[in-house]
Amino acid sequence: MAAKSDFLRSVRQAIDKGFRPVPEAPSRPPSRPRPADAIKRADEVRRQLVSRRAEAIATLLKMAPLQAWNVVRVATRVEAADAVAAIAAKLGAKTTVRSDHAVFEDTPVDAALKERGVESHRLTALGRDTRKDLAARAELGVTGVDWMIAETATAVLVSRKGAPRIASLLPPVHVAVVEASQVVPALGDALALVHGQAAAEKWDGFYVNLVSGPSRTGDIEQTIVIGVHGPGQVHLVLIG
Amino acid sequence: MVGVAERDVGGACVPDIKTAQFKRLARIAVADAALQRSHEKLEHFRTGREAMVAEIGPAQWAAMQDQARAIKWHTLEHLDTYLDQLATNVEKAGGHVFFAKDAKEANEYIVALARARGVKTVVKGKSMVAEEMGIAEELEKIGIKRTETDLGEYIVQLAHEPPYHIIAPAVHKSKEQVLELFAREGLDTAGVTDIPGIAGVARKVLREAFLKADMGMTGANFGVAETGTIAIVTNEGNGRMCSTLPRIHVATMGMERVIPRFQDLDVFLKLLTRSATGQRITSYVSMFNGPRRSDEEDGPEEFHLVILDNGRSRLLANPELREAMLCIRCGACLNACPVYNKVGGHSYGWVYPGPIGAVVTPVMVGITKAKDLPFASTLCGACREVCPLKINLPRMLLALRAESVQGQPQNRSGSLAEGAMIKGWYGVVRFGWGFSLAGKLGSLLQKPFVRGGRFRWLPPPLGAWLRSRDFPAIAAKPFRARWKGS
Ligand code: SF4
Repeated sequence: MAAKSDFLRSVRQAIDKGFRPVPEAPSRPPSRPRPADAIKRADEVRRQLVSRRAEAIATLLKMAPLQAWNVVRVATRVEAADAVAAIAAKLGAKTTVRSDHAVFEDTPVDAALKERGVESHRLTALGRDTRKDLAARAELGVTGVDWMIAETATAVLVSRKGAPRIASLLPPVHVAVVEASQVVPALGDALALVHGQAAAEKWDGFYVNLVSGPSRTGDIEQTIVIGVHGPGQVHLVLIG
Repeated sequence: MVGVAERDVGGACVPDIKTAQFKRLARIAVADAALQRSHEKLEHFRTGREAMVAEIGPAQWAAMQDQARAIKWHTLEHLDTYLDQLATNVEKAGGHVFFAKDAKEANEYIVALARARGVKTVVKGKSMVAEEMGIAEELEKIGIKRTETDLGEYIVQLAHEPPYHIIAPAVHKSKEQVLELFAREGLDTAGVTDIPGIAGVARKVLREAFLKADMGMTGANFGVAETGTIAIVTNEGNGRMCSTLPRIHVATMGMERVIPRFQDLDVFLKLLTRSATGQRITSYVSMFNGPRRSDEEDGPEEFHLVILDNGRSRLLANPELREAMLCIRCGACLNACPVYNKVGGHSYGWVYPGPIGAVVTPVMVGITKAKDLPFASTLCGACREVCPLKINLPRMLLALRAESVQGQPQNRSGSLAEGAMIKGWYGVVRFGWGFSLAGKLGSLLQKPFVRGGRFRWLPPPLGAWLRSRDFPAIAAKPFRARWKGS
């Protein structure tokens, strides 16, 4: 494409024309993508997770309320299903939508909701239009996460089959169900893990959201208002 | 609203600009009591930022700054390579990339795309680059309904005004003004009196817009060369909506936003959100590098990334001003600047106000059209103190002043003495004495003019421009000094 090569050529000319050595950043060649390095790095992080976990969970429990998460801690996936249903019931929700994250496998989450008179819809089981309509109408969106970052209480959500983008976006309340093994200390760890997985599984692209609390704005008089476009209330159900 | 008339300016095409009217606009703003009151709200950003830096610890913060600077300088040295890498990876993920040398080319690409796809409505997230391009007006020209979805941007869209601040576009509006505006536009404001209520009104209108839009537009805070990932930070969730619901997603990005590696996002996100809004992290960080993956159940079918030069290569080609390309547009220098806090965001006459605007605007639109902007500073150094990239804005303002004064010695009050003074300052800052000394000198020089925390006198030409009003003084102890406990 002419536009691209012309563009890059004029950038190169500008670089050369304005170049002056920068002592704080000595010249070195540009880096190239190396998927193998990304995979290795992720393995490294994963290996260290176990020994860092207890501390990470302690940090998460401290940070989550600061980021306005409502936290419930439970021991098992079955108890998590109950906790989700309890949140829905307390809200007086009639309709919930949920993702198909692994954390819901073999759990009675749908049954627990039904027991309390709440409809539960697996978004994946629906057609495209119905899926959007239901998510826009639901009072509650329930998802698992890929990782949970302790330092900022951030849920890492990689969008994929069974985990659509709208599940945690359209409903006014989002419940994230997190397993202790998914808690990582820092943003850098989560980035390495996602990147490593993308490289290992040769994803053609990836859409990731870092969610660190409810939707908010300070755009009018710098007064914080919770719940603008995204969920205004977020719950964290931590298993383990 | 930024006017639609486009002018060719030294190879870059920019929407109508008012940068030549700085003095007039500044005087109006200074005399506007409501605007002056609204500036006090920026205190939230300032204290928030300081608290976040304190939480991380000054030593750690300084290390992050050095790391980010080194990464950015390195990126600039290989900007062509990294841009190429970024584009290749977006294409690999199924996206399209368009390199636009100016706003006109970028607008033409997006307008043609919208036409070809039969787009009727567009939802837009906040993007300073889109403001720079004036794409909104171009879309409206061909009958496309465009809705700004960031609450602040939505407010200024309804008010037909440009953003006032790069992070808080409507910070100059009181809630009463916003309510009045909403009512005037026929929004259902019955019974609404408070700010959450106003936000609720906007939420309802904008939710409708999201659900039926054909095209979503976002900006790009960072573009990762290694993976083609564009990262955007938002608090409201409109960025997620724009990149999820419409069938076409277009992201616009200034070419300096590229960073080499995915891992680099770590330090840059941390610096950006803490400096911008005083948050550990924004409610959302969304990352994408193409349309939805083949196995995804939602997301856009098409993704386009538009990378814009629009005068940036002139900054890059200027060894004195290249440092401005390190900027991550956090807005901290606006909040810290005594001049911005007096003259406000609209006086600068274009998209980028404050100290960073005073540096990049003259280069992007041409110094003859913005010759007053480099003088819109007291050289107090507050901007550099708070800049997450430690960008030496005062040095660049001096360099531009020297250029401006050299170019037209007759054009301003006290020009001879002033010219000599500026060149002297410039020499101090540029050669060896270093900024600290110059900064100390500056605060000493400032002393006699400050009374009760307000400037009573400002060096020309600011004094002449802003006569009759006092001016908030610079904090006695710069932040850097407070870290050291001095
Ligand atoms: S110059 Fe520095 S402080 Fe100002 S917007 Fe850019 S990065 Fe932020």
